[in-house]
Amino acid sequence: MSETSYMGMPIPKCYQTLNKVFEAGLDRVILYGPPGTGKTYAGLTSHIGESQSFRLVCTEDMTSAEVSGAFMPSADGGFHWMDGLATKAWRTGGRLVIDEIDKASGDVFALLLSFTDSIASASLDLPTGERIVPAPGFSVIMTSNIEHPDELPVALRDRFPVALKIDSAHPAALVQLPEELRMVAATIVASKPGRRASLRAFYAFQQLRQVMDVMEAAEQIFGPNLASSIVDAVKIGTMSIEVTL
Amino acid sequence: MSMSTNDRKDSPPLPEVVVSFRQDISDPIDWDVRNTPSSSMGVNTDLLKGQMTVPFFDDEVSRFVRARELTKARITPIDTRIYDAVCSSSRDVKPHVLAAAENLRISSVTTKLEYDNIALVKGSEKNLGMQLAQAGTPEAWEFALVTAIELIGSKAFDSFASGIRSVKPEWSKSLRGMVKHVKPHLEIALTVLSDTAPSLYDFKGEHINYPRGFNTSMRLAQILDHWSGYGPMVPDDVAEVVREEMFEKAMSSDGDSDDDGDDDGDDAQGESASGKTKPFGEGTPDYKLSVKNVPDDFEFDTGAAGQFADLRIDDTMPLIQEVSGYLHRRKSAMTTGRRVLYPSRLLTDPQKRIFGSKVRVKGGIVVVDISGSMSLTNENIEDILTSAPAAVILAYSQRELDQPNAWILASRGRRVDPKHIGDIGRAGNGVDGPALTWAIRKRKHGEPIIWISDGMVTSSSDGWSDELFLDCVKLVKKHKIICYADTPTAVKAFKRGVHRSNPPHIIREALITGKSPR
Repeated sequence: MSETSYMGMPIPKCYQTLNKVFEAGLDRVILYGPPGTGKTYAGLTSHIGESQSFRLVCTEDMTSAEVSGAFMPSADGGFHWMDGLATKAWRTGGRLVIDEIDKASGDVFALLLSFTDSIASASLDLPTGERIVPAPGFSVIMTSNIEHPDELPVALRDRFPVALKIDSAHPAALVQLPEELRMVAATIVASKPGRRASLRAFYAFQQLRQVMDVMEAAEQIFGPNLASSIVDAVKIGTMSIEVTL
Repeated sequence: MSMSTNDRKDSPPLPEVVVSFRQDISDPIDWDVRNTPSSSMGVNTDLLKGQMTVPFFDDEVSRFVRARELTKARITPIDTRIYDAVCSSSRDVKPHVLAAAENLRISSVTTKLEYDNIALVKGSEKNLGMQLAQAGTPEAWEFALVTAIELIGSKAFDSFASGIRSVKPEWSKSLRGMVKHVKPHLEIALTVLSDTAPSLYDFKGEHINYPRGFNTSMRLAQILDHWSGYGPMVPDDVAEVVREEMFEKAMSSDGDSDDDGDDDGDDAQGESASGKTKPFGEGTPDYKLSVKNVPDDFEFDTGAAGQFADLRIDDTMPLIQEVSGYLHRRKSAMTTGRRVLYPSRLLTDPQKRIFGSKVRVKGGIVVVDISGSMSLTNENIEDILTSAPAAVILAYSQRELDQPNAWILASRGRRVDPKHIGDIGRAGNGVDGPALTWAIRKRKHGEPIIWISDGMVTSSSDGWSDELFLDCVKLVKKHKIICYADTPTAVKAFKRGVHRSNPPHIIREALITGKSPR
């Protein structure tokens, strides 16, 4: 990826900033903003190098087993320890991407605070008696749909020195759409609430319009109000009637 | 399926999306999009302010209006200074015509994208056409032209033209001719019409950005201008009135309105920014012939190459013949009045006409170009002498250096013998300017100066000179010299007793445009 464009598409400023943050060696970053802009995609793929990335989607019902690990029954009738995603990321020096951390339950949230602590003070004693510390290269990206980072708990916010608002679609995600939809999707994703649709909706629209009338497909995906608006915008934006046939 | 009010679909336009496709705009615009209940009232798109007001409803008319405004946002120039720049740079383009041409381009693109232009049909076009034709004024014609331009390609145009035809068939014919000329220019690729590749327009040292597709509108405006103002395709009845009005304005203006470079800029910007047509009459040119720096006692340099010849008046021709009917400042006796001049008439006049008043006879200084290009016969000159009995009449034509090139044919009641007339002139011009300045010097207070000439001003070697020509036109303007292109027109005016300048075409054009038309 060059500095300002990706496969001929301009890289929005927020992603350019994210690249600079990674290049500067910062490894704790919050990406926040409207849904469907490619925050998670950026977290899982940006500046990852040879490392692995691990994605944790937080819900109220998730347990610490998914984070740090748990004893699991083994074939010999006993139990063996299975690492959770955060533990795996620590051990391998990989990238941990945590979606919607603010939705995690109390104990999981506390556990995640440990995993996202600074390198100097990060260590964890597993129930197996093992003490683990993050391997070199470990990094954490947290994503959230909040409107402002101050909405996050202070302890969590404190662990992430950089909070970037991601209000545009990631070009790498956009290029997966047909050319005539890319600019439309990029703009709609960054639009104001009420006029916004997610990238996922555009992927679905692209699939559905292959098998049904374009307006019908738009109504199914974007709803009756936005459908006509989007179809008109595609037609007039691209200056082509072909795309809507 | 019927929809209740709550089920009504509202489709807000997405200008931010269509504008993102423009190549000439890199920074996103923060749009304020508003709903309007009407498909005509309040509909507007302002790219600079980021405002769009359109109906959100789902009917065909609303959808066309939305599509048209989106198309406007997609292709029209964001920097509205381009309108002023184009119109100031080119005398061939008027602001309201350029705005109408741009509206036509936008509508054409919208229609090419297969949006049904049914919205353009309001049902009142025929009546509107009839009303405008009945008004019959130049303003009504300009309104009709702009309306017709914006209706091109829709059924509404036919209704409009039909309404006009029922009152003024020649207007309708002219408008249909306009459509015929314009249509081929719209039958080009959509990509060309809607091209937003950035282009630069140089104007007074500034570079104004505009989308390349706007070139089509500029070309259209140049064509359409033939049907506007005093253009060659304007119906005769309108053209005559417009020419007269423009000439009057040209003669009465000081010609300095544009010297500061600001006037027309401010004038055109507001309306054109919204893409609306200008009020009628504003499309007429500014009057640029400045006479501010022409001194009252201006004299031409003479004698050198490219200059006028010295004025050599032949004063040897005797003015011995009294013009019949010479009535210079005659007093007439009247039955009513304020000054008793003839008290004796109380006794002598059965009608007791004791009051008197001065009657000013038609005199002045008449300067007659008797060069070969005027093709004057002796009878023509004779007609002038007899129809302007109280005037001083100077005829001029340069033949050879050191020879007389001007002759006084009459002076306030006395004139030369007709036998002398056949011996003079019929050569080059050569002294037009000095003849005019001589008349200006000779004029008594309030006296008119009348110049009978075809405007073919030449230097001493009988060569055309823009500079000498314009200097003469400036004198015409500054000293309100009455011009006639030929003797029959002048004689008619002398006989009527009322002078109304009717200069030859090239002088008229120069007065209006400030430029030599040659």
